[in-house]
Amino acid sequence: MKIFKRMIPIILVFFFFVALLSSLILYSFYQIQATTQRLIVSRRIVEDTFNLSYLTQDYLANPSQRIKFQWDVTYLKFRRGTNELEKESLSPRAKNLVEKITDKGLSAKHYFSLIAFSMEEETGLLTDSGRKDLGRAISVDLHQMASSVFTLENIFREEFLVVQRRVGIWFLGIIFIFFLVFIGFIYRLFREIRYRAESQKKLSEVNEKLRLVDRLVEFTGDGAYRYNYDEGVILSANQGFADILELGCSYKDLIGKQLEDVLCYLEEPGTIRKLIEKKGSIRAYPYHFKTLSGKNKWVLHNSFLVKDRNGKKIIEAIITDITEKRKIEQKSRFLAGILDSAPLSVIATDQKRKIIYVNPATEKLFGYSQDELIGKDPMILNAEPDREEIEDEIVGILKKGGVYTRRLTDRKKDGSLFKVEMTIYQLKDKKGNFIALVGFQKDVTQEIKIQEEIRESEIKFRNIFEKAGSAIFVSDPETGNILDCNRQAEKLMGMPREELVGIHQSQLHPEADKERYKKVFKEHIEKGAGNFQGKIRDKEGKDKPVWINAKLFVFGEKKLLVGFFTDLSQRFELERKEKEVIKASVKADTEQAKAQELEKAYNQLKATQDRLVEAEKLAALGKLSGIVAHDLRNPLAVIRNSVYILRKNFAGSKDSTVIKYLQLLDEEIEVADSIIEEVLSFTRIKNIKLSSFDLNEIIDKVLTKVTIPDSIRIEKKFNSNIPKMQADKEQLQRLFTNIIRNAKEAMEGQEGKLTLKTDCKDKTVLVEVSDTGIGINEDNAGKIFEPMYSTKIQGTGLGLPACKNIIEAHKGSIYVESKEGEGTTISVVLPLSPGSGD
Amino acid sequence: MGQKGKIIVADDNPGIRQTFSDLLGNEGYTVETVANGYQLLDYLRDNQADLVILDLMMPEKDGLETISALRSIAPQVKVIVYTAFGRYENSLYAKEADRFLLKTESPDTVLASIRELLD
Repeated sequence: MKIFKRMIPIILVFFFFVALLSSLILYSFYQIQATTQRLIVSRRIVEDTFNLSYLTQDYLANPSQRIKFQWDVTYLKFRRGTNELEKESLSPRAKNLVEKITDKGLSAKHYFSLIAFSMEEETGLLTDSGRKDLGRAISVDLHQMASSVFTLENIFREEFLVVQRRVGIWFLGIIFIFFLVFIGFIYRLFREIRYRAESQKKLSEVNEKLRLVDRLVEFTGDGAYRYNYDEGVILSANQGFADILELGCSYKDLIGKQLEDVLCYLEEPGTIRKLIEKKGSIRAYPYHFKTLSGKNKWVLHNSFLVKDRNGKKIIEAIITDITEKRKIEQKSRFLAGILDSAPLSVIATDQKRKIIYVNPATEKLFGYSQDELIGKDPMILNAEPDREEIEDEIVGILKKGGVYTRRLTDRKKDGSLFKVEMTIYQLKDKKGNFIALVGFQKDVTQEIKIQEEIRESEIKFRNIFEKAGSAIFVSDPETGNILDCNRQAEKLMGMPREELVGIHQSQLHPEADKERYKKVFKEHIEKGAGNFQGKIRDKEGKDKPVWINAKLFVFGEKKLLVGFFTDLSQRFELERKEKEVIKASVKADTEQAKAQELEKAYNQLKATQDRLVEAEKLAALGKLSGIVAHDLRNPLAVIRNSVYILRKNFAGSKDSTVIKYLQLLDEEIEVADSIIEEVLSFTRIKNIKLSSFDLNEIIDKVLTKVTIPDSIRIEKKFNSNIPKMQADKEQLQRLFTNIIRNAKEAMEGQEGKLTLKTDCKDKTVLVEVSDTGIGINEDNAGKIFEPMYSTKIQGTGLGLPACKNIIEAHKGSIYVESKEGEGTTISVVLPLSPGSGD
Repeated sequence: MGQKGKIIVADDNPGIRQTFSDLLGNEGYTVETVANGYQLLDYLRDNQADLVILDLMMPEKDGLETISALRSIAPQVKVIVYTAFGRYENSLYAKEADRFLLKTESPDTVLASIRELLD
C-alpha cells in the first residue's frame, strides 16, 4: 500500500498531462473539421462562380427566362456559400477575400440584372455592343471572383495542413510523456524495493547493537533505567540498577515507582534534570546519593533526554557504581599524603635496583631533586667504604623475607656526609610477587651527637661517682630501695655492689635504730636535703660511725635520694670528743664540695637529656605547625577579604568607629600573619640558597623594614671594607630582622640607643647589635635560644631559636652578653663563604 | 556587569568562596564558585571562563592535579594559584600557573594580579 501512496504524485502528474493533451487533440479535431467544411464551401463557391460565368455566356448568346432563372438560383447558392463563410471566424486575409468575392458577386448580379432588364423590356437603352461590354465586365468580375476563391481555397488548405501537423506533434508529445511517466514509475518502484531491503538490514543491525549494549550493561553491572522527566516515574530499568540501589528486589518491582521512593537524595533533587535540560545529555557526572538502607553511594551518571511518541520528555540513564573505586582512590590519596608529608625519607627501587620513587623528605634530606634520583642506583647516596658488602648483606636478609636495619653514613648532593638509620624491606603483593624494595632513611646525625654527649657525661659522672672519697648510695625515695652505689660504698659495707643494690636503705644501719632512720629519711625527702651523724652496720656486723649528707634530686617525674656517707670511725678512735665531731662536720663540708661537683655533672647530664627531649618536641612541632599554619591562613584570608569588602562599603561612612575598628582588625590580621610566618620559618628546614651580597646593605635594608621609633637613636659602626659574602640572603635578612626587632622591643617605651657594628676578620664577619634596654635576667640568659621560651606577651618563643638555626645552618655562632637593666649585645659570627669557616 | 570577564573561584573553604564572590562581583566581574577540582573541571567542560583562582590543597581533586587537567581542557584560561602553602612557590606545578599568590596577600594585590592578567 505504501508504494501506491508514494506513487500518487506521479500518477496525478500523469493524469494532468493526459487530460491536457487530450483536450488539445479534441480541439484540433474540431479545427480540422471546421477547416474541411470551409474547403467544401469554397469549392462550392468556385463551382457556382463557374456556373454563373457559363450561364452569363449562354444568356448573352440566347437570352431566355429559364437561363435567367438558373442564373438567379446559382447566384443565391453562391450567396449562401459566402454567407456561411462570413459567419466563420476567419483570418483577416481570408475575411478580405470573402468580402471581395461578395462585392464582385454583387456587382456581377447588378450588371446581369441590367442586361436582363434591357433584353426583356426592349428599352433600347442598351445596344448589342453595350450588352457585350457589360457581359465582358461580368466576366471580369467573375474571373476575379474565381481567382479570389482559389486564393481563399489555398489559404484554407494551408490552414488545414498546419492543424494537421500540430495534431501530429501533440500526439507524439503524448506518447513521449507516456514513456517518461512509465520510466519514472519503474525507477520509483525499483528504488522503493531497494530502500525497503536496506532499511530491513539497518533495522536488524540496530537491533543487534541494542542487544550488544544490553549485554554490555548487564555484564559491567551498570544500572540502566528510563524515567519520566516531569513526574520522575521509573518507566523501565535493568537488574543492575536495582542492585546499585541495594533494594534486594527484582528490577521489575521498580517500574512505576517514583525515583524519590527508591533512593534518598543527597544532592538537591532535580540536579540531574537541570543539567540535562541545559545540555541535552550529561556524561560521567559524579553523583552522590544514599540508598534506602542508609549506605552512601557515588555513581557516574550518563543520561540523555529523549521524547516518546507523544512528545513527553523521558530521561534515559546509565549509571556506574564508583563507590568502591572512590574509596580506593581516597585511600590511595591518603596514603600518598602520608608518604609526601612523612618526615622520614622513603625510597623505592625496582628489581634492577633503580629508584622508582622518592618522597619530598628524601629530596630535602639528600639535596637531590626527584628527577635527579629516579632511575639511579640508590648506592650513589651511600658513602660507606664497604658498600658492596652491605649490599650483599641486604640482599641476603631480604631474600629470607626479613627487614634490614642499620646505621650508615650517607652522602648528600653537596658531598657532605651524615648518619642515617636505614630500614629496608621487600614490598610484595598478596601472591608474593615482588613489587619494590622500600627503604626508610632517618637522619640520626643529631641523635648520635646527643647520644655521644650523653655517654660522655655519663662516663664523666660515673668517674666522679666511683672516685669520690665518700661512699655514695642512690636510692628510690618511694620504696627506699638502693638503686646504685660506688666503690667506696662497697668498701664501707664490705659487700659487693650486686648484694647492695635492691636492699632497703634502712638495712644499711643497725637493726635497733631502723625506725629512727626511716623517720630521718622521710624528713630528708620532704626537705630535699639534710645532714646527720649515724651508724652503719657492715657485713661482719661491725657498727661504724658515719656522717651522712643526703640530697633529693628531682628530674621530671623521677626523684632520687642520694646519700654521701663519710666514715668517721678512724677519727673517732683518735678523738672521741665533741670537737672532733665538729671537725668531722668540717670535713664533711669538703665532701659536700665534691658532692656539688657531682651535682654539677648530674646537671650537665640532665641538660643533655633536656636537649634530647627538646629535639623530639621540635620534630613533633614541625609536623603539627605546618598543618596548623595552613589551616589558620584560610580563616585569616577570609577575615582579611571580609574587612576589605566592609572597608569598601563603609568608605564614605561618617561613623569613625567603624573605620577605626576595621583598621584595628587589619593590624591584628597582620600580627597573626607574622606569628604564622615565624612558626613556619622556624619549622621549615630550608636548604641554604647561596648568593653573593654586601652584608652592610642587608643590614641597612632590614633597618628600613623594622620601624624604629624616634625615641631610639641608631648608631652605625660599619666596616666598609668587608668583601662580598656568600650566604643565604633571605635567611640572613630574617636573622637580622629578628635580632634588631628584639633590640627595639627591649627598649620599648623608653629612650635608648641601638648600636650596629659590622667587622671582618680572618674570613669571618662579625655583626654586633647592642641595645640599652631592659636586658636579660641571668636565669633566663641560658634559655633564650630554647624554642617556646618567650618573655614577651605576644611572642611565639621561636624568634631567637630560628636565628640559632639559621646561624647553625651557616656554620656560624651567636653570643649573648647582657646585664639586667643595662642592655644586651648580641654578636653573630659567620664565615665569609660556607667553605671558609671550616 | 559581566563585561569585565568571568572568574571561577575554586576553594574548599566556603568563606573564601563567599568573600571572593562579593569582592570580585563588586569589581564588575562575573564570578562562579566551585568547592573542588572535579566541580571545576566539570564546569569548565561546558562553560567558558577567563580566569581561575585555585587553591592547591582541596579535597576530592587537589589543585596540583587540577592545573594540568585544566590546561588540557581550557588552555586559554588564566590561572592564579591562591594557597596557604608558601613552600609550593617554586614547585613545578605552581610554575604552570600564571600567578602564585599566598593567602596572606591583601585583596588589593589579588585584584591587581587579576587586572594584569585580564587586561
